[in-house]
Amino acid sequence: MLPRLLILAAGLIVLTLAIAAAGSPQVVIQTFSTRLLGIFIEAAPFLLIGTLVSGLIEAFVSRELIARLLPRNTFLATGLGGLLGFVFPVCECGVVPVARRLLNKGLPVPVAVSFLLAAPIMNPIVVASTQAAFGWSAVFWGRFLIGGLVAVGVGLVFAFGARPEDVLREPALPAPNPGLTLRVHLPARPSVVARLLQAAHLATGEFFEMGRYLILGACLAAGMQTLVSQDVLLALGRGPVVSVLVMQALAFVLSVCSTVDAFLALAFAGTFTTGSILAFLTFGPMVDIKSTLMFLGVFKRRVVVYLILLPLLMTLLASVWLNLNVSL
Amino acid sequence: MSQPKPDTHPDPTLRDWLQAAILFGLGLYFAYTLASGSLTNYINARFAWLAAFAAPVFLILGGLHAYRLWTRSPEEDHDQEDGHDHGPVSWGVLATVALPLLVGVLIPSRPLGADAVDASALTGAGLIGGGDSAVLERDPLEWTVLDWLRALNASSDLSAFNGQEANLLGFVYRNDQFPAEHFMVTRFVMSCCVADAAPVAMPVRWPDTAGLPNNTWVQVHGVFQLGEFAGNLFPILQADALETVPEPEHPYLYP
Repeated sequence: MLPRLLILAAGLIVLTLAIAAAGSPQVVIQTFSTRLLGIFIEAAPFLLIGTLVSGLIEAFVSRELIARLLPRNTFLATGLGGLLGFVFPVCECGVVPVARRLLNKGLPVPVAVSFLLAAPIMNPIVVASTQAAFGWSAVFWGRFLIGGLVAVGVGLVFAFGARPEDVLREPALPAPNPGLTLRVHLPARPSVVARLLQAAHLATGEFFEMGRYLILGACLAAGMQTLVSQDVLLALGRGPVVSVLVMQALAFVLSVCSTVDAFLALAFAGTFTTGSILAFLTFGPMVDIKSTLMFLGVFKRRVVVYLILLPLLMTLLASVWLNLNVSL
Repeated sequence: MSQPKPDTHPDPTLRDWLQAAILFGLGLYFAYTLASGSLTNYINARFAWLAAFAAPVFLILGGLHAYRLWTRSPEEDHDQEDGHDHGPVSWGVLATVALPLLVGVLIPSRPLGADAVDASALTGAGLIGGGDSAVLERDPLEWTVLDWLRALNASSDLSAFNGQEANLLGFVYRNDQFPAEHFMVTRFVMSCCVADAAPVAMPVRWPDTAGLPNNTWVQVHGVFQLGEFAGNLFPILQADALETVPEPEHPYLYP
């Protein structure tokens, strides 16, 4: 709790200082509020849809179903694991417990890893919000292509001999920590109405938990657009490598839910390279502060390092290559 | 479940009720932006359905949350010690989610205006490409600032615009570098929401710029004449008629 409050306080202080430095506070606050509300109003409904769907899945769908849907062949299953998000749209916050459960159920490690990394990108809600933000553009297609390839690629790295007991933390295996268990076996099969109410309740909680990241991210994006001059942003955002690193760091720190990160990326699209926007939209959903914390609760440290570094390097390579070789 | 916390957990807490209130407030706020038309200050009108969807859902979630709190018995509290539900959310989370609601309620709604124009980005060069060429077959008197910039971009000979008649709507933008008797009639172009809004503008020559403060919405009529503006050769609208108009219902142009 303390770090979050510190981040919040630091943000507010920086914002106040910046407003004071920028001259007319009234003008700055007006522009800032328009930009903040613009992102929030566009993104909040998508976040709402995401949390509702996740609540409904939680209340109605048994997780074992996922394991049954997959083919036996490891390579085929790893590829399909990357597409499972279309059947079970979960964002990065919902995916870790699901993946852990699947591993415990005997799903091969590479399949679970590709599901873990791809599901926050490869799902219908993210498709809809990315399309709303970027249209049918190169960014839209690139996000799903690179995201899918990197997720399956990292999954295949784990295809070489990794068994569940090699990747999961000891206590996670036999008796999962109750804080992270999913209510799969609902006692005495509650009625549909009871489950709907439960779904609404879960959605409410998740909207607040995730909404916080969205709003802090929107504050940062709006503050940057309002206070930092175009020239500075261009200087930072035009370097084919620097821009990618900046956007990856931003994606990691902001931890914005993948259903709405496209609207934040939009704020950078005018000044940053297309490759860096794609890095933000592919690396962010796979790895950020909150997913790292969840990884650490489930996987061994060595595995977490792989789960962070492999997507980092792969999206970095893909984005820099795009910046240098393709004019988008 | 492993550590039952019987009666130390007061229920329902203030934070729980605030959570319901924020959900309710968000529902009312989304409904208000739709009803008042201020929604188009923030997002492209084609996404109005998003707000129309969100408003009732927020109200329902807020209502259900309040109902749960109202009917909750202490024993039921223990059922919620599972998954992501650890009782009421923290004050930090509440404050953060309340922030856009407070900003929306307390700060009067205005579209992006002259204060948000970054002079170095004013050419709008990035946006102008592409577009709908069918627009250029319409009556040029109906063209917007964006249509004219597209036509300019597509043309190889700027002098072809000499003598062309135009009728432009936009807000006034001036800065210290502008020559006397000149301003730019400006619009923001938005495809999704204000996060991607960028200014586009055409220079106008009008004798009485002193009477036109920044952000004044004007309808200006005139004829283009090639001239030097901000160091570039550019068609400048020589205004013969100018009237101040109220801010339009859709302040942004949609590409």
